[in-house]
Amino acid sequence: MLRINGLSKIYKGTDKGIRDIDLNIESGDIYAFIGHNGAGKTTLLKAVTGIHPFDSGSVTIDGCDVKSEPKKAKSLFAYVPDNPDIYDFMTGIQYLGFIADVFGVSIRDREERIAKYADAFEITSSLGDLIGGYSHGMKQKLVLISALIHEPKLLIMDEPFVGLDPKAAYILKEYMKDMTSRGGAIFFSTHVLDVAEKLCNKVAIIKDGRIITSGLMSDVLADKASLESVFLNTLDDGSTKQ
Amino acid sequence: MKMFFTILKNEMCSFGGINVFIHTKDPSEKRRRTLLLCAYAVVFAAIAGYITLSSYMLEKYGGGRCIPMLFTLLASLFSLFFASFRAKGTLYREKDLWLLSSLPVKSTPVAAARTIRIYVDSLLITAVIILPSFITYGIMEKTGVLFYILIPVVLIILPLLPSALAAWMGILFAAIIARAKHKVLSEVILAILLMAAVFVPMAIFSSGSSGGEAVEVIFSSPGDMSREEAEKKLGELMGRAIEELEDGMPALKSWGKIWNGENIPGPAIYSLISAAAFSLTVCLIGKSLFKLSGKLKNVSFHHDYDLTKLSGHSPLSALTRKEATRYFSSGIYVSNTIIAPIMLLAFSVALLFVDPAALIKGKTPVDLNVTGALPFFLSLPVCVMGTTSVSVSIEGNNWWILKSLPVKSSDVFKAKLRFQLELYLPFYLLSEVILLFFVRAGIVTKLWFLLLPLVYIVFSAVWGLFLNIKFPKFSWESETEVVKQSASVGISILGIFAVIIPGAVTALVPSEFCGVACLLFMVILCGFTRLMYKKVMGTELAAV
Repeated sequence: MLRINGLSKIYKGTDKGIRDIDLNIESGDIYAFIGHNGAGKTTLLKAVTGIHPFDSGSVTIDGCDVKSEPKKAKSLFAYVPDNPDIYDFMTGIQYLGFIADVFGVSIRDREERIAKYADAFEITSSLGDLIGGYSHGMKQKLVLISALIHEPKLLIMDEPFVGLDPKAAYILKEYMKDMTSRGGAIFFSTHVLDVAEKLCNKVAIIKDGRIITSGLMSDVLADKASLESVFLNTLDDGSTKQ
Repeated sequence: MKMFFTILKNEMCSFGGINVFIHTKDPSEKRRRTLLLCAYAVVFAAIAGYITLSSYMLEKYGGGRCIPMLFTLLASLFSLFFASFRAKGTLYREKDLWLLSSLPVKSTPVAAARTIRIYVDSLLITAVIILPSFITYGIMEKTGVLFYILIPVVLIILPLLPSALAAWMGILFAAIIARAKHKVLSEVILAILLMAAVFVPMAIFSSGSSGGEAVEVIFSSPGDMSREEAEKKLGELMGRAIEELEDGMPALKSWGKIWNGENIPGPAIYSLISAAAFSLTVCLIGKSLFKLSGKLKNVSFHHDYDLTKLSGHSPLSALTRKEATRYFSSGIYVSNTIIAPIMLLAFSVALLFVDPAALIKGKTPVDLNVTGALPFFLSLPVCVMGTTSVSVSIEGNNWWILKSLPVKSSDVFKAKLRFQLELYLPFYLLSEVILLFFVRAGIVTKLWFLLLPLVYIVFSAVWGLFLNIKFPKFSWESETEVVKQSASVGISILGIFAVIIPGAVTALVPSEFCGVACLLFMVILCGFTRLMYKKVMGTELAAV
């Protein structure tokens, strides 16, 4: 579904960025991406989604190259950023309508899906209000609904659980499982290692812009007690294992 | 005191993006910022040049003694105008309110630092007006050293009162807007009222009887009056105009006398009042800044929403609608850009009542083809500032949305262009109805009335977008920074030369070549617009 080959992106004038990233996210995967602050998680996610241009390597989504066929590639995924900076000047329903228009979601489908997701995340009554008046959590819920509204094959999320109340976090996890059970794939960064361990079948750990461990959760965990201990040990010795 | 300096240092860090310039390690960002600095320098130099020339002309025609008071008045009015718009976003900004109010910091040093930030902005405006005019005055009047020593004193004192007044105007504006149901409309009306309060008295003064006579003298033919006579007459008119100004504003008269050593207590009192007003403002606002900023937050109204029948649009149409929603959500964006098409319409209406060709006929040293140049000058307002010169920067933190959506980069830019064209269209059509059916003109002139404004409307849209892509400013704290002070806006004003130069040339060519000149300039302009359009359409969103 998502194939990243030799991806590098170094910020000009610094040695910071990501180097030679190789990852393969397949249909049905819930792939966690973990690393310390400044390790390069957001940079990788933004490069994959075409928000940041990258220096070398390739990214293909369901066979579509992000660089040469950006429009087609972008129509296959949805991106949820770490900070829900969305159009404060629109109402919630206007924003969802805008996203649905751009993705070409039919009127019938959008009505059905907005009703379903907005009810689940309990923000239907606020959809007529300006987004500027929303709390962080409400904005996050709206971004999640806008990501799900066009039923993407791939969901790329940066810290999706930040700001969500426990019920919304539970609902999101259920939708993630449902999406992958229907052949979709999810690639997301998180600092909540417990969630990653319980929810994901695959995991990658990034340190200083390089992937140092990746693969099936069971393989990565091996004989370790938890993902937390794997993460801490891996950061300490820094060895690469794929 | 130490706390105050710490906060002030933080406040000034963001001034002109200086902190980013110093610390960025990205060479392209450094290059962009350097280019920006150069662009600002060019704009400041152009303004300073204009002021120097105006001061020189005033001196030459005997109006030298009014330079100090006239330019201090102008500097104060401009400072007040710009600072009033900035006050809401600077003094009462919400962005870091949560951080500061949670720190063991009193609100007075925060208010002082933020008011000083407004003061520094006003100081820059004052400097660009005062320095060239006062230096010209000093050289031409051969003033003593004391005069030059007094210039920095004036520079420091003069922005104090406008900054203090602006702080209070900011509270008033923010309070009205926050509680109004139609926030944008309220903001636009307030902006127009402020503009009128500041600039209408100036316009009344400049259109006084002496101003009208001066125009007649300037445009008198050599046969009517010799050069010496004309200069003498202009000098007399200037003296009368100064008296009118002094009679209208006695405080200014008192201020002006200091330069002749006649009135020392007057300006000293003014300085004391300014300093006291500034300090009092800082103390009073400082006492309850955090509480006040919270109360000035926009009040949003909640209505329970019921999901009803939705509608759909094409991606390009959705993008254009998004541009429209963004535009009409910002009072400052609307009030700064809607003036251009309104002026186009106003110029067309004015042509119903005034025939500029008949007005100037026989009064110029050389024959001017005013009718031929009219279609150019009619287009002047649309070249001042369009919506597109801000449309990229105004995306701010939301820019990621468009970058991650499955839309072509060119469609995003097309939507921005399309919105400006759609906004101008009704004004253009109304103007054309007036020009084609009601204004008396030949068929060829009417053809240019039809074509040239249209060409300039398209040019202005593409020119603005081209500049905003070159000089985007995504990191801003208030919309005022983008709409009033960003580089793309400043440089886009230079677009008026695309009207002034062809207009002036067309006015000077014999009438039989006027059509050829219009056609030539139109072709050049279309070619230039096409080149910029291609450049814009070839730009990838990820690269901006």
